[in-house]
Order: sequence, then C-alpha cells, then structure tokens
Amino acid sequence: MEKVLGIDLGTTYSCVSVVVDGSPKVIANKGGYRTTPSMVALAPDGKRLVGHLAKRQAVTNAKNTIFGAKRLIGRRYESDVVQQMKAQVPYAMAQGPQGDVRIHLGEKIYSLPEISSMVLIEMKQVAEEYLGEVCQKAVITVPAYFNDGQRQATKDAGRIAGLEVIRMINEPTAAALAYGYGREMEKRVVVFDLGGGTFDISVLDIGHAVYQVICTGGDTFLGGEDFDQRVADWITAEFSKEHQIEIGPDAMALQRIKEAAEKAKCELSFQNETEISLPFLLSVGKNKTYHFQRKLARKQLEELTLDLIERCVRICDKTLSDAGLKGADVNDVILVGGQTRMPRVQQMVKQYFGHDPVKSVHPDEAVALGAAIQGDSLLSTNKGKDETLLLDVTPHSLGIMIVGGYSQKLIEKNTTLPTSATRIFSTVKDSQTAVKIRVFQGESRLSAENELLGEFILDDLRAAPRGEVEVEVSFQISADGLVSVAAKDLDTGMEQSIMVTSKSSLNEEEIASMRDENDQHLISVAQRDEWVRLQSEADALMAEIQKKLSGVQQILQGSGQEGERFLSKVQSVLAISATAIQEQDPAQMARCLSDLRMVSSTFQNLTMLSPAPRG
Amino acid sequence: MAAGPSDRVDLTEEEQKRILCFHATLDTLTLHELLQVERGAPDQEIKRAYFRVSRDFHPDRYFRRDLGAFQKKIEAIFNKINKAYEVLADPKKRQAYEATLPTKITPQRLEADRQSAKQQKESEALRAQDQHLAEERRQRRLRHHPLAKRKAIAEQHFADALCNRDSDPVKASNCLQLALAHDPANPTYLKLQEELSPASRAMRVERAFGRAQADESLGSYEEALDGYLGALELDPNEPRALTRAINLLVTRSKDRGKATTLAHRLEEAHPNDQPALRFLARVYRELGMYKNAIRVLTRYLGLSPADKDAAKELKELKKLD
Repeated sequence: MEKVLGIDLGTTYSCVSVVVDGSPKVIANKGGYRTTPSMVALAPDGKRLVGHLAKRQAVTNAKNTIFGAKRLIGRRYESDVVQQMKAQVPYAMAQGPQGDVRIHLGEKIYSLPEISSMVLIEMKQVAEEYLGEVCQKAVITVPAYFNDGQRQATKDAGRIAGLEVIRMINEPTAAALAYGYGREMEKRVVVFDLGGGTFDISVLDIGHAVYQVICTGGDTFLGGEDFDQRVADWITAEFSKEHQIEIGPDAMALQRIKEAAEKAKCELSFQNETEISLPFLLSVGKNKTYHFQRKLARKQLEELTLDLIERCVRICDKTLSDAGLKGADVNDVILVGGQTRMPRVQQMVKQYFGHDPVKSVHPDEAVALGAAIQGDSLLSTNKGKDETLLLDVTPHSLGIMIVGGYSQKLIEKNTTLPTSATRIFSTVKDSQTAVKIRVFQGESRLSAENELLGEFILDDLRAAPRGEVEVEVSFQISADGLVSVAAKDLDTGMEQSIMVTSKSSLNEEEIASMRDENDQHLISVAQRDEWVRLQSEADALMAEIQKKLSGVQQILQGSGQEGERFLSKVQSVLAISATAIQEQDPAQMARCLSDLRMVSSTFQNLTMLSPAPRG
Repeated sequence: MAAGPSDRVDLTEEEQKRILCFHATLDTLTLHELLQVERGAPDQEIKRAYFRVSRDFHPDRYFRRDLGAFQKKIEAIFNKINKAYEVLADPKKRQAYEATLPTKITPQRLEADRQSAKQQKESEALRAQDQHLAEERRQRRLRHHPLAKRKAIAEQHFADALCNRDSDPVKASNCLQLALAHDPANPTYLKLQEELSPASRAMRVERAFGRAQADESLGSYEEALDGYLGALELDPNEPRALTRAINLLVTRSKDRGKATTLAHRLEEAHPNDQPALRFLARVYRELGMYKNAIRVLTRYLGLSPADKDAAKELKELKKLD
C-alpha cells in the first residue's frame, strides 16, 4: 500500500510521521531533528532556506525570514489580526488581489499557501529520504477552529507542494487518535492544544477505535508566540526605561529580543529564574552601544501572560457549557503543543479538569502521529472491526444572509461531519435570471459579524414570473470541514450552475503555476547538489593525479612514443577538467570524470607494477 | 429493486447485501431498531450502538472506492443513523419520540401491522403533501401575479370612491380615477364615473371660482385670472367666471385678444342675461369695438326698455361709430 505522510504543519514547528509496519513513527531529518521550524528565508546569495537553516540566520537576515505564516493563511488583509501581526514582524506584507495577504521575500511576492508549501516540501523531503521512496499522499492537520477559508488555503499549500491531500484532520482529534491508538478504551477525553499560534479545546468520546468529537472551540490567534511577545515587549520597555532610548524599527535588534524572549520563556518552565543577556543590542552613531542584561523570574512571566491564560479558560468555559458539560465530566486530559509545558498552564488545566494530564502523549509529536494513523486507516483496504473511525464536527455554524443583514443558520456548530442542509430559493422579480446567495461561518445573528465564506451566484435561470422558478440549493460540509454548494432546479430537476465569487482563495491556474515554480526550484536545487558532487569528485581525482604525476613521468621515461602520447593525454584531460569546472558545465564534467577515473586507475597500475623510482 | 449485486462496484457481495437491506428498511424500522438497541437502553449503550453502526456505514469506510449507485444509499443510511442518534442521545427528544411508539410488543403481528400502517400513512402523507404543495404553489403564483395585486389596489380605491360619493363628490371622483388607472375596463367603475361626472364637475367649478374670487379680493390678480380660466376649463360657459375673467383681462393684463374671445363666448352662451349684456357693452366699448357694443346694448334695451341710462349710452355709441 502506498505510504501516506502525516504532517503536522504548525505555526512555529512542523513534524512528519508515517505508519511503518503497523506502527506510526515520527521521521527525523538528517540532522536528527524530529521537528522542523516552520520558517522560510531568502539568503543574501539568493538561496532559499527552509527550517533550521532559516531559523539560524533569522537575526542577521530578519527582513527576509518568514515565520508564523499559519497565523496569516486564509485571512483577509484588512482583518485586525493581520494588521496587528504586520506591525510586529520584520518582513513586509501586502494586500493580494482577492483581499488576501501576500508576503515580500526578496524581489518576489508570495501568497501564504506558497510559503507554507515550502515548509511542506521540506517535510516531504525529510520523509522521502528516510523511506527511500517518493511520497505523494498526505494527511495534513489544521486547528479545529480553522474556518473554511483557512482550511482551503492549507489544502492549496499541499497541492502546491505536489502532495495529494487525501484528508485534513483537526489537530486535537489527531492527538486523541495518537493517544488511543492500539489501546482498547472507552473514555471521555479533553484535548487542550496550545501551540505556537493557535488554541483548540476538544472533548471526545473514544469507544473501541471510534473517536467522536462532542464539542470543540478555540482561538486561531492565541498561542506561544503571544507569550513570547509579552516577554519581548517587557524587554523593550525595560530597555527604554534603563537607557532612556527607544529600540525603534531595528529589525536585527528586535529579532534578537524575540529569540531571547522565547529562550527565557522556555527556560522558566524548568527554572524559577533566568538571565536574559543581550550585549551590544543597540548601537547609535559611531560610539554609543547599549546592552541589556536582566533577570526574569517565573512569577513575572506568569503576571505578564496571565490574561492569555485567562482567555484559554474563558474559551473552555464557553465550549463546555454550550455542550452542557462541566470540566469534571472528562476522564482524561491530553496536553498538546509546546506552550503546555509552562507550569502555570499545566496548573490551570489540572485545576479546571480535576485531573493530572496523561503522560503518554508527546506534546510536539502526537498530532503528526495521529495524522499518519488516519491516513493509513483511510487507504487501508482491509477495514476490519478495529479500524479507527473519526466522527469529527464542524466548529462554526453555517448560515446564509437574509433580508435585513441577518444570518440564518443552516448547519449548527458541532454537527457531525460529513453533513448537508438544503434550502429552496426562488426569484423575487419577474424574469429574474440570477440569484445571489451569501454564505457565512459564525455564530452571530448579524451577517456582518460572521466570516464571509463566499458569494454563490445561480445564473442562467429561465425567465419566468417571480416565484415560479424554484431552485433547491444544498450546502455540504465534507469530512475535511470544507464547504461546497450545489444547486438543482426543482421544476426540471437539472443541475444548476453556480459561480463562486469573493472567496479569497487561489484558482486552479495559480496553483498549477506555483507548483511548477516549486518544481523548478527543486530541480535547480537537485542540479546544484549534483554539480557539487561531481566537482568534489573531480577535484579529488585531479589532486591525486597531480601528486603522482612526477612519479609516473619518471616511470614512463623509457617508454618512447606510447609514454609520450599517454602523458600528453593526461595533460589535456587535466586542462579540460579545469575548464569544465570553471565553466560549470555538468555535461562536460561528467565526460571528464570518466577520463579522470581512467587516468587515475592507470596511474595506480603503473605505480604498483614498477618498483619505487631510484635516485 | 434498482441495483442488485454488481461486478462494477468496489464492494463485496456481503457489503452490498448489507447496504441494500439496511437502506430498504430505513423508514420502516424504529430508531431503536435502526441502531440495534433495546427500548430501555441506557445512554452508554446507545452511544456504543451508534459507534458500532457508524463503523459499518460511515463514508470513510468506503474511502476512495467506486460505489456507483450505492453511494447515495450509504449517504442516506449514515444520515439517518446520525439523526437517530441525535434523537435518542437527547433525553427530551428521546422521551418525546418514544411516546409516539406503540407500547405492547408482539413480534410477528406487530411487524405486519407496522408495515401496512406505515405504508398507508406514508402514501397518504405523500398525497396530502403533494396536494398541499401544489396548492401552495398555485396560491403563491396567484399572490405574486402582477395583475392580482393591481386588482386589489383598484378595489381599494373604488371602495373609497363609494364612501365619498354623496358627501364629497370631488374626492369620490378622484378615487375613482385612481381605481380606473389600475383597472380601466371595469364596467362597475365606468358606470360610477358617469354618475359622478356632472355633480362633481359643478362642485369643482364652484370651488375653483371661489378660490379665484378670494385671490382677486386679496389683490393676487394673476392667480385670480388663472383660477377663473381654470374654472372655465371645467365649465366654459360659466357666466360669472367669464365676467370676472374678462374684467381682469381688460383691466389688468390688457389681453384684448383673449378678452374678446371670452366676450364672444359670454354673448353666445347667455344671450338673454341682462347683467351680462350690460357688462359686455361696457367691455366692447372699452376695447373700442363699438359695433359690438351697439349690438349688445340694443339687445339689452330690447329686454329692459326702461333703462334710461342704457338708452343714453346707446345714442352716444351710435354717434361714436
């Protein structure tokens, strides 16, 4: 059976896993890292850097290092959170043609799915190297609270990366899947997922390999990065107070502060106090430099981030109460996401649910493992009684705009997927040939407060007196949580055409061209790697030949014409190889290599057969 | 039965049979039977049953398999299972549902009874529904029919017209005009129109004349003249309006042509109206039309021979001519 990758595409870190011989494994990259930073950069020499390489040079190349793409994907440029992030990050953003967000990287402008696709390609390559085979299918995870636009954009990222995304599953569900895999259990669990950029809480019932989501809630803009930002803001403020000078828009300084903040935050999970040391943080003019050296206590960190934790609590309250549940109703608590390592967070969770969280779940890896399990389960042909089944739900209500700007709900939140609802639409004027339907996701009664999914236009209706033409429209939400709309004319029973407008997603052509661009990039990277390999082999051979040349010349002294011919050939091969290297000509280089190898082996034979030259 | 075991779909024979069986009984079984639980089963059992049945019929179980006609069946089954769980998992809904089921269970007869009763109920319901829908549609069409709406408006106006017929003929006439605007060919309306015409017109003329007189007394001579002319449009031979209009035309606007026209009209319409004649004589004299003045004065004297002043005037006029 073809392998399916389970990819946790996180805000700060990504992880890839695959089921091997019936058990899911996280795949480490060549450096031994089991997670990869979700970062993309453009080095000064024009090379694209992804993952650890990108993170390492983030300070010196802040303007061209992209992070936190997941906080922007599928959002409108004008939304509050995008504007907030724009003010905080050193890289440049712009508004895209459909009101989406685009990123400046070097000379080019990229859409968010493209940026994320670069991280996905990296994860794909990590897996392919380990498995030794090409992987084209994947299950990608998304926060449970992601809306249709964000999910669609993530799926596009997968396609641009050359992956067939057979399913998208929710992160908390994936973690629950990893928790229950291979274990017989009948339990009610809650997954508290506080990752780098998003927060989800899901309550699930697990019963003999069936995982049913009871309710889910969250915030797609609340996570570890916000905790980091609090510390960073504190550092900036303390610096200003101490030195009476503002840091200003110094990208390098800000990036150093950000990294120091993250480091301090992590250290405070294991220590009560940590030292933040930033020498030469700011230079003004030729002579003035300022340093920052301060201790930060755990208690201080907790004060700085208390409101963020309280936001989590409020979301838990609402999610549970909407489903008629209380914290004590759950049997097991599962923590997911790096930020749940913070002691104050763990304390809050334990207090809220009355249990210690389970220890068997790795907060950084569980989601990827769950995704791999689900992928394997979907494609397996032998679906026995113990095959896992996910009964997930939609996190937002689906509604349409009606007279007065109100939103009428067609599908309630927390409805089991896949699901559908139908409604009959009619014309309001004589000879009306088109009907426009605006679809929203959200809980508010006012459409303006919900998220516009898209405008669907039914056109080509037959001209008739008003009220006579009736069209049945069905709204479907797939198991991935993606919304689709289909229409049927009731009188004729024929499928009606639907046009989708104002959906800020990429169209097929754009995706295809972005995928081609990625393929080109990969080809050029592969070619470069190949060239490096050829060149180093050539260099080694040439050095060896040079070394032995004088000895061989002596040996061939008495060989007459044959010897002369051979030696002149050696010289010409060396010369041609040198030019090939200079001109970076791979084809020529390949030819030279075979000659060089021949010369080298001949030299070996000669030096072996002859005794050592005398005198 | 539509689709039987087939080689083209990606399902084993057992799977196909199970799907067909389940689908066929979707509407005849109770929700409990659908989930395969006892009536008094506890919530835990209901959930377990839901999980069990879901495993067989959730679309993911048939992921990426070619299902042909079975796809819709599976979707319908899973839909129904979800609905069944929704009802039975909620205590209130479950109670309400169970109250609708028969209490005594005798397996064989119950099955037969239930089948026939359900079938009958279904077909009746369907028929009623069809009829109801068709009727609704017809009503909707009628309601939305543009002519129906206009007719309704016309009726309204006609009712108003009838109300005001005796008390205020002008208003009644206006309402009737509106009614006729929306429904021009209506014979009832047209009949009423005929009835109202003379009375209302006289009223209107009276009103217009009254207004013009008021204007004149206040010194708004132009408005007054317009008013008189307006009244004359309704009743071209109204003597008082003519008189006043001519007066204004001669003294104020000096429009001799129009004055002359109106004077002629007054003469023709009221040949034996003595005050009118007397007035006209003066007017003609003012306008320098002595022959006309003589003619009119002569006729006046024919009717009132005793008027010494008029006779004197006549002599003067004859001298002037």
